[in-house]
Amino acid sequence: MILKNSLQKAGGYKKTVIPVIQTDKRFSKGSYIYKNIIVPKIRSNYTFKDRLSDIRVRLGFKRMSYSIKPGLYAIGSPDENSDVIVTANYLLTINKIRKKLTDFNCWVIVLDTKGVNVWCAAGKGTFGTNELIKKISSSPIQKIIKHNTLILPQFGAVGIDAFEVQKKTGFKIKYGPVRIDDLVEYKNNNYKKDNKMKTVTFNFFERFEVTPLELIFSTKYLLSIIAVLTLFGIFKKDFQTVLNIGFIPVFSGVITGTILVPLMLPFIPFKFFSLKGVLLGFIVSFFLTLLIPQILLPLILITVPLSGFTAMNFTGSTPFTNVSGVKLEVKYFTPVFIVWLAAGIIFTIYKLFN
Amino acid sequence: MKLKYYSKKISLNYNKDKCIGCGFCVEVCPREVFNIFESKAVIENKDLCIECGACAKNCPAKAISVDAGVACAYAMLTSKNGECSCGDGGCC
Repeated sequence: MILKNSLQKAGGYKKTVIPVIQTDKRFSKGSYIYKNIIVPKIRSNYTFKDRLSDIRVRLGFKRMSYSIKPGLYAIGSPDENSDVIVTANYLLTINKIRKKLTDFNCWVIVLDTKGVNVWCAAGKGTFGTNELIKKISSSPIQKIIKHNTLILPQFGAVGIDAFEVQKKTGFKIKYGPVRIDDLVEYKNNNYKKDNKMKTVTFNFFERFEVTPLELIFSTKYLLSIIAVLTLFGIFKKDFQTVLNIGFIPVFSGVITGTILVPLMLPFIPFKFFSLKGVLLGFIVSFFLTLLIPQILLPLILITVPLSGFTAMNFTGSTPFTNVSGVKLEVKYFTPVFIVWLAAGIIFTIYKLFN
Repeated sequence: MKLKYYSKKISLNYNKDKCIGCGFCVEVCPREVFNIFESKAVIENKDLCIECGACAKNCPAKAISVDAGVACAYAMLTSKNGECSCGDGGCC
């Protein structure tokens, strides 16, 4: 049996008599039997617990441990004429599918992208031609369906050579809508994409969704700085100075670059994210100086470059930056920020001991 | 409103003579760079290109070339050739 063979390859079940379907109870509920083939089912309803899981992923808490097992799944009660969609084993995507395809019947091929979303995985090759060919060959899908079409998310095109897949497996690839939200409408529209289905947006809410991770990620690096500053404060018994020339500049810089810049992105002048960060860093410094006049210099030396650097790192979270532009930013601004911050650190240390 | 980024060094190249008019570049591009005009692809918005490489990858006639990659500062800072390490115990 094909399923048994693929399980043996995947998990080393060398002496299995009855195939053991490893279903993840979070996502799958039981099995679906069609043409004497057992396929795990993806639970196609979205519960409150799922919503909490999504929030946890957005906050960066155990992101990777939430990935679903790759392979073939059924949603609803599909048959030999039902659509076959392909996706990544990223929790947010799987939960989106369950939320949007509640009354839909289809087969789902989940590729092993190591818990990463379609777009990033396609960019790095894991949502790739070879992985798709492997999953098609090792799953019973060819025995199940009558047609030979696979629907892929549009973003998957970055990693998939459609003609190569067709040559090696006989399956034709249709690049469907950008968002799974539009899949049902896409099907009802005779598998034709209208403008809405092709458009990639990055509105305020979408930017807000990816912001927490940036902040939490930066905070991990900041913890060492916070620890050192706290030690200084304890040693010198002068927390006021540590606050003014240490904590406030560092936090305001990171908050500006990881939250303010992303949220206000389209409204900030300059194309380069580093410059957006620097500009907002200066503006935030200006307002903070009105409140605490004596911290102007630490703000300029620490807040502004930190804001610029963290803003520059947001380039990877957007769908509209290009490779050559980001390369330029990284090449020219990184050394500037390093020197700038070094000056700020030297100044801070000097002030702490005088 | 299409968000724009610095676009003076876009490496997208297209050879009209090789184009067979299949339309896949239009289909896969996330930024609507291409369009079909008189049975051939045309580049309408080169400055919107993000160099993802989907068009070049899916062109059966190999009429498109681009220096594709991941437009992520963190990936460029932490790896030799700007490769993303998300999922390998890396950033994400």
